[in-house]
Amino acid sequence: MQKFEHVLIFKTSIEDSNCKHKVARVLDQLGTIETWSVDLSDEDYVLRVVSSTLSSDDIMELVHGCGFECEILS
Amino acid sequence: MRNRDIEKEQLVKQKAIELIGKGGLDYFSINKLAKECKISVATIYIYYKDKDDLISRLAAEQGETMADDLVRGLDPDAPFEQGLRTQWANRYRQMLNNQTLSLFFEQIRSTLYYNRFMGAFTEKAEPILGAFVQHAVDRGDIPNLPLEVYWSVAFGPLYGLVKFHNDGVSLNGRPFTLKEEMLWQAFELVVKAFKK
Repeated sequence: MQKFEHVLIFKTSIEDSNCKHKVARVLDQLGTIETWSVDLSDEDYVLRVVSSTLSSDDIMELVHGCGFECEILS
Repeated sequence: MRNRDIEKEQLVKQKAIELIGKGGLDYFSINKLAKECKISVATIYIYYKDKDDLISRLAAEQGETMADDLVRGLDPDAPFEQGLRTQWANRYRQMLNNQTLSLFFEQIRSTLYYNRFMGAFTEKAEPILGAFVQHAVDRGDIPNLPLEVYWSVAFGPLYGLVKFHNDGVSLNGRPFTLKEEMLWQAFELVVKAFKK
């Protein structure tokens, strides 16, 4: 069962599957992410990451590195 | 640390059903749902991966709920008329009490989510409904029929009346509200139809 305290949520500019592919190449390589997803149907393009070790800052840095905006969604 | 809040979860599900029922699937979004529930978008994303995940799980849950409703008080060994009466009463009550769910159901009917709904519904309801019909056939209460024929005769008239009620108008455009006695009038004819 998922621990909800390890769910990190961000607003991004990952707007379509191409963008998602670019991010996937980075996120999928990390062993520290249990699962992640992007809701392409939502206007905030919400990135949802489940990870017990990475912090929000870590994720934002990774996504910025791919060339996309990423900020914590409150 | 975020705490699971059962009440919030229930509110989210209830509002999602309402929004989808009224506005359709395309119009619906997690953002709109958050506004409607007066909570943050992030809170919803704790529980659901994305819009598709939310609707999928909602569809499956509602299928289960509908199944529970439909078989309430139904004894698979009951005489045919009694068991059918129970089912008519359950379906009628559900129609009256749960307009929101009916609207939601209409919206997902022509989509992939319908499979999730029916899958969950069938899994829960079929053992009891199927057993009821089979016992009636075995006892000789009713003839052995293709399922679709059985269903059309057993429940078609009920849903016909329900449709007039939900539309608010009858065949010639006259305003119409279903009265319970009409329901049971139709029921008597259905029971007669099944007698061998």
